[in-house]
Amino acid sequence: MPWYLQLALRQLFPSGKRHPSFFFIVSVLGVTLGVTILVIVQSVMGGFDHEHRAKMVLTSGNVDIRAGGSVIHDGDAILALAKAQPEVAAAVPYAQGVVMLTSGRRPAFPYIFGIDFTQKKQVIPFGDLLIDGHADDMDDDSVLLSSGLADTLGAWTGSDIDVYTPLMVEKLKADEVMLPRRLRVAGVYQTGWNPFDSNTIVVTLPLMQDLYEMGSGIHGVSIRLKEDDDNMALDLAQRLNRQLPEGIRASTWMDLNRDFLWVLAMEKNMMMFLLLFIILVAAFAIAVAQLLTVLRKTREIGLLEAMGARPRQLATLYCFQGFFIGLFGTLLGFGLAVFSLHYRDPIVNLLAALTNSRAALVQFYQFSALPVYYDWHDFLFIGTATLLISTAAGLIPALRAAYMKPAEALRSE
Amino acid sequence: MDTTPHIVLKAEALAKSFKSGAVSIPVLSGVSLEVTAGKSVSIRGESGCGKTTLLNLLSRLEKPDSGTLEWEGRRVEAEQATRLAATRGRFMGMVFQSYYLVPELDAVGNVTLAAKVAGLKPDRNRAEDLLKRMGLGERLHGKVATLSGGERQRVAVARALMNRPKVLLADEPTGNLDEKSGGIVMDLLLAICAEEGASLVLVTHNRSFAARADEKLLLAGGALHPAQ
Repeated sequence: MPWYLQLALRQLFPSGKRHPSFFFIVSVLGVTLGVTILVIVQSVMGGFDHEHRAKMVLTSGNVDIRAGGSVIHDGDAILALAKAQPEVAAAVPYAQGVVMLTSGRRPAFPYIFGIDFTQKKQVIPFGDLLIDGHADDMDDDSVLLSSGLADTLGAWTGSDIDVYTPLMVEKLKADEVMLPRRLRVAGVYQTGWNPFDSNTIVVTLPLMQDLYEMGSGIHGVSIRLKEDDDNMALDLAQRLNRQLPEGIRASTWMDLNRDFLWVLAMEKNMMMFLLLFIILVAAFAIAVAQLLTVLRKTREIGLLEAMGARPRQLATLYCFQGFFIGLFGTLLGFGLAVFSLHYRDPIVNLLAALTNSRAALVQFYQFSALPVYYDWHDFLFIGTATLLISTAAGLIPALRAAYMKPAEALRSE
Repeated sequence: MDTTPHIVLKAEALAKSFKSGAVSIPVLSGVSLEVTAGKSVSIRGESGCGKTTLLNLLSRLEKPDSGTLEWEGRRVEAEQATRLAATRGRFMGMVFQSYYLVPELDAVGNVTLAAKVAGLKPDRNRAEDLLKRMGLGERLHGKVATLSGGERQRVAVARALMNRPKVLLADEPTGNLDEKSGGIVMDLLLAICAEEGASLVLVTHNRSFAARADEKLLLAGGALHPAQ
């Protein structure tokens, strides 16, 4: 190892002492805290992002075939085309709309999904998602309620609810009276995806077709792939679009949620950008600590120059210290962040209890626990940015040391 | 057989002045000096007369306003700055009044550092041998902070001699030491320079130490004069 790197390490870790130099500890702590916060925020944001994506796929499938809100009358052909694709694990026709329902005197206006429960393989695994009741009890006179709606209505398995459709309003205009459809609650589901859990109901496809007087028409076919692979979904959608009749299009779940995903990505990038300023603050700490070191060691620098040290070597000596502080701080920061995230639940519970904010966490982020997703791209970016900023912070004192005049340095007090 | 004395260091008409605002204060005005291989030269002078400045000019740590300097017959002015630094590290050793040891290194580390900085292979055996000859056989791995002033200066002398320099410049090497420690350092400095065949340019206030050099000079009025 070159002498200037050896000396740089010796100045950071003086032999014979139990701990590194004070300046080193302060500088490393600054970087460590910055990196820790960056990794925690990015990993939690990534966790939310990952959870959102998983829940979106869970509740809507990987690919969706629609006719832009119009009724598809030749649903069997579309379904057959979807099922013929090799990567498709399940394809289920559906119809959707909005209804009003009442339970006792409590009204609600949920989204309604009519799903073909006769299909052997389902896109949404309601059997696994029910927290009350049984999927086998579903028939054309029953309904599944989302957990949020069940809470709002106070209706659970075995309760009766009355359903009013927009069609009834149309009938009223023609002076016809249509009575509400009374349905029995067969079960209550919870997916963990708040928009779906808060205000949806699920009925059989024939019931939905009856409520909306669609005949045998459907609104679309949702498809689940054998693997949750976004590229595979994209390929399938493109292939289906070449074969589907005009007016009917296949879209991936990403296309359907493009705006929401963009907001998620933008939010994450903005957090990264803003929090990088913490690293910049830490870089100032490094620069100040290194400048003090250079000032303290002015005569030593003069001596090294007198012994034949070149400016480039002296610059490297102090620049390397900045780099090493950055490296050490980054590694410690990674470790501290992963440790903190491992114990995030007790920490979040404590903070939520202290601030009485658990309900807000669930309401606004749709998750009751803090999700985490480690993305190696985040670690790579944070590590590289921190090392570059730390090394640059060491550069200013390094240049000061390199261009010191030896005689003046030796004379300095 | 050539009996011409070999000149290792030659300065001619070196002049240097420092600026204080608009005023130029001359310190050296035409200093000429020749140092013969293996010989010692002592330079005495009053405080502020320019002794340290002269050593800085001889080691080219500072540029003169005018005059020429040769190291073993080579004009120093012609050398590039980076090459000059490397050449200095091999040609010349320096001892300062304040030792300037690197506190993070032990005695051996400080001595071998001179070789590393000059781009030479650090011969650990030579470093230990020099330190033993300087009476520091028991303190080879002593931290700088644990060494006495005299011991530190002896480490500095060993460091200055590590690269087998042709010339050793010593600037008040006993200035921070008491009479006894200074005497020990001076004895060792002269003896080891003689053993190594290194020329010595010694700047000192101490008349008795100066008197032990082969050539005694006095710096006064910006020029060198033979001392009594």
